[in-house]
Amino acid sequence: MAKSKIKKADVGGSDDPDLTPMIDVIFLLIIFFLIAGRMIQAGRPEILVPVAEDSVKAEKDSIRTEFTIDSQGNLYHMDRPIGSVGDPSRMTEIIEEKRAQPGGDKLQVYLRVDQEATYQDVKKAMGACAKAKQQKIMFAAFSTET
Amino acid sequence: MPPPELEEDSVDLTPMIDVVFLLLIFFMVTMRIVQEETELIVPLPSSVQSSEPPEFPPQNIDVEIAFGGQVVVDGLPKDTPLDRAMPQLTSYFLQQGQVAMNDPNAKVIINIKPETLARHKYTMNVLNALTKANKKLEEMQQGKARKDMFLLTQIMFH
Repeated sequence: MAKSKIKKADVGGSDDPDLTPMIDVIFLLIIFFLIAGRMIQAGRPEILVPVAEDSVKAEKDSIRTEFTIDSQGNLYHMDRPIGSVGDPSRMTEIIEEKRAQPGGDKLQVYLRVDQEATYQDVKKAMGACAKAKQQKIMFAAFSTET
Repeated sequence: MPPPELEEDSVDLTPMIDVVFLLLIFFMVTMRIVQEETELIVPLPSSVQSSEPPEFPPQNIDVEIAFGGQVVVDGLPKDTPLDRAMPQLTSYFLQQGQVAMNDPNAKVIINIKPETLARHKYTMNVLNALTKANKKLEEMQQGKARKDMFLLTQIMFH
């Protein structure tokens, strides 16, 4: 009896390393990557913004609304498509609505434009901003090459 | 009676660890690293036009951007489309800004005229050069006559 007890302790203690913490960490990593992957998918429309070395980080407390123009001229408000930039009337309406809200005079319009989008599309979007009396816009950029 | 074999008590974890590692490698490989976006601030021209003509006519700088990205300033080509930093254009803006900085009545208007089908990245190169020149002017204007000199407040898109 006594012999078998000693054997059991020897086998369990020294030969088999305890894998539990490693498995815990790996499962945590998998959960992290799963959640992070979902967050990326559920975010903004995927475009490639141009590089501008002198661009700055966004102010944290600013009131802003975001529009995206892809290389095909499709227009999005946040993550929602709102038609083509050829007819930016919906964009004007959204900015006017935002400006009518309390503190709306400090609204900042953040334009995410694909680097391959044409100037005519950007001009229409800027025209829509001007029509809504929005005088300050921010162009999205990367401060360094991806 | 012989004692029961000890191996029967422990579960073999090797296949599970294999699968878990494969999953981990899959997620690591398929995940993109997201780069944080920054911004370039562009004030649009005021929609309210003054009824009176200005006492001192403003100085206009015409910046044309061709379809292929070549920038022509006041009739002279500056930099090449491949040179994103645009050192020649930046120093030209800086030079014009310095002249205006010492004259309280001077006003510089920058007319940006990209071709209809010019890519947005080329316009951004010009705006970046303006931002860079403006930052340098802000540093230099300490103690100068002009306190309100901001090149970027006088941009016109055509």
